[in-house]
Amino acid sequence: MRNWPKPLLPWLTAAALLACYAPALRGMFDQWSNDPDMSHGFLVPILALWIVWRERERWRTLPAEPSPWGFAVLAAGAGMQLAGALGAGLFVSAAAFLVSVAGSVLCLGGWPFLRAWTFPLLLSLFMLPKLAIVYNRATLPLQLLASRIAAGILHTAGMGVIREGNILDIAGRRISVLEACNGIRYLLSLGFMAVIFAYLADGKPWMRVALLAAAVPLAILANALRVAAAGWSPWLADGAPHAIAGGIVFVLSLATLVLAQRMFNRLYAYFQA
Amino acid sequence: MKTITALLLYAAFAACLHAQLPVPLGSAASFGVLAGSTVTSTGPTVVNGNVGVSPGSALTGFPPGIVIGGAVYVADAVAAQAQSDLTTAYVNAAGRVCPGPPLPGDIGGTTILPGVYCNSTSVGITGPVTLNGNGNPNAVFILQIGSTLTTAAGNSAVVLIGGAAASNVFWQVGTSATLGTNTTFSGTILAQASITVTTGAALNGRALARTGAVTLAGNAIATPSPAGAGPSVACAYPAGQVGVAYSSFLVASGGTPPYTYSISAGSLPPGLVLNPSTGAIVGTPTKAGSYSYTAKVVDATSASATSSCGPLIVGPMPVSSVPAPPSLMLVLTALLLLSFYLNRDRLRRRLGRS
Repeated sequence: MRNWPKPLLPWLTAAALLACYAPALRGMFDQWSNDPDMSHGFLVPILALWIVWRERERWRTLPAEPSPWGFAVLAAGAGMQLAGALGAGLFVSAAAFLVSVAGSVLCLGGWPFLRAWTFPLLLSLFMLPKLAIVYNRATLPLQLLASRIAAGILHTAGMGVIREGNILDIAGRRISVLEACNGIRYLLSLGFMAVIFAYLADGKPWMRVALLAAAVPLAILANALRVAAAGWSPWLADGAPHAIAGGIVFVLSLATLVLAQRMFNRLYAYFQA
Repeated sequence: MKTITALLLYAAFAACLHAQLPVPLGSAASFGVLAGSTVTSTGPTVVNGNVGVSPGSALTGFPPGIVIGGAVYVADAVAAQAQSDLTTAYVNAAGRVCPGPPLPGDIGGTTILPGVYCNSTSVGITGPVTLNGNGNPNAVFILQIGSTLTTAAGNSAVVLIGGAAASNVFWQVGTSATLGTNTTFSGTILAQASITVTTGAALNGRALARTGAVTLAGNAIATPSPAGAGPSVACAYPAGQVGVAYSSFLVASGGTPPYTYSISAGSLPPGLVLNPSTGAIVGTPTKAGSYSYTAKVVDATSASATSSCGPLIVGPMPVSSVPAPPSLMLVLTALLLLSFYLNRDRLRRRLGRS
């Protein structure tokens, strides 16, 4: 067997992975292109690679300790890819790609490299397609929750609202909280931004988990607020004003996450003291 | 001798003007809409008569458009025969001798007597143009237009008086015809290329295009009754929604125009109003429900006809959905603001230095 020059090996491995998982990557690309819930997927690999590059000084000094466990992980990835191709679906094939990336890192660099690249690898989970079984189960409850909270907000604001399931009747104007309004879009986007913000603004790894957890109720509440805004003013229910209002509510959610990070830090300092 | 010659010439001229036979439409006469390439309709179009396309096969917008008293023929033998008959009719109309003088570029505001008229370029109609049958119920009007026929948006209309009947009015158009918004038009349009009937226009006649498309947008089109037949009235579009503007027409035909429209029994949905002179029914329905009504038309000789229309079903206010912006837009916005936030000290220093 020919001995490839060492710097070439990672590139060859990357090319082989891209070739082997081309159908899964194409499927992910299609979903990012066609599903507005998942269009942030385009940014996920870019940011993951940027983080790897940003931390180059750290991992360049690590000793390469190739681990035979990498082959086991690669085999697991190949098995998942086979299952995906046989009918388990795009999610399994896409997850197999990430598992195989982790296996390749283990094979070439060993555990120190895998540990160094754990965060970008975990961040890449945000680019995986929506898992249909979870999405379908979560959609209706989230729609109803958003409708309930939006109706509550409008009631509190002094407006007369009749809620019929996921339809809000506001003085004869009817707004339907459809699947696309269920909050998943806010949930994925805000969760992703929470992790990125924690990584950039705070060195503590637990902060990423804490802010991700805080993003869940915040996203649900923000989505309901967005629906309530559309119910409050017909002007905000359609077209550019509606899109801008959605963006503003998202930015406000992000600002709340910034405040939450400060609050968590104060609590941490208080308990440390 | 000179006097006798002049009288003979005048007689020949008068004969040319008055003694025209109708253009033979053949099987195309049963079509309210016929196109060569495509028929496209958006909104609540109602066609009283056949709708067809040949040799093209694209027909869209039915439904929501509806066809009453006829059928839809797409690239089949019936539509092909109608196209063939349309070609014969077009050539017949274009071949009629036009004694002149030529029609002006805009015939709005003029009164036209029976006969053949021509303009080698384009003709527009701004406001009403009156076709006066001079008391002859079989009076024929043939208008040969070399290029385009365009009616201005708003109150353009073809008004029939003195026994003129829509079934005996023929517009032979060299390229394309466009009926502007809310035009009330009468007669058969025989267009070489395409016909566009814009929003809210009503046509008591036919839109027949040889090679191109017929494009409709929420129109009422009624194939005219034969000359000499009593009046009849076609119903308006039978569906609406609370809070959404509705616009359609009762279209009268036959009898002796002008017509007067009314609702003789039942009622229109609350919020809708009938214009008694044009037949337009416009407004915004305010209450959901099913509304049956009887439309009545009275012509100039007081002959009348009724049609049981409906139900005109008014659905509840439409439900609007409020999806969030795409996640790519949300994340990009957030990343931009986050980069400002995280680099705020550096930015402040730079701004302070400058």
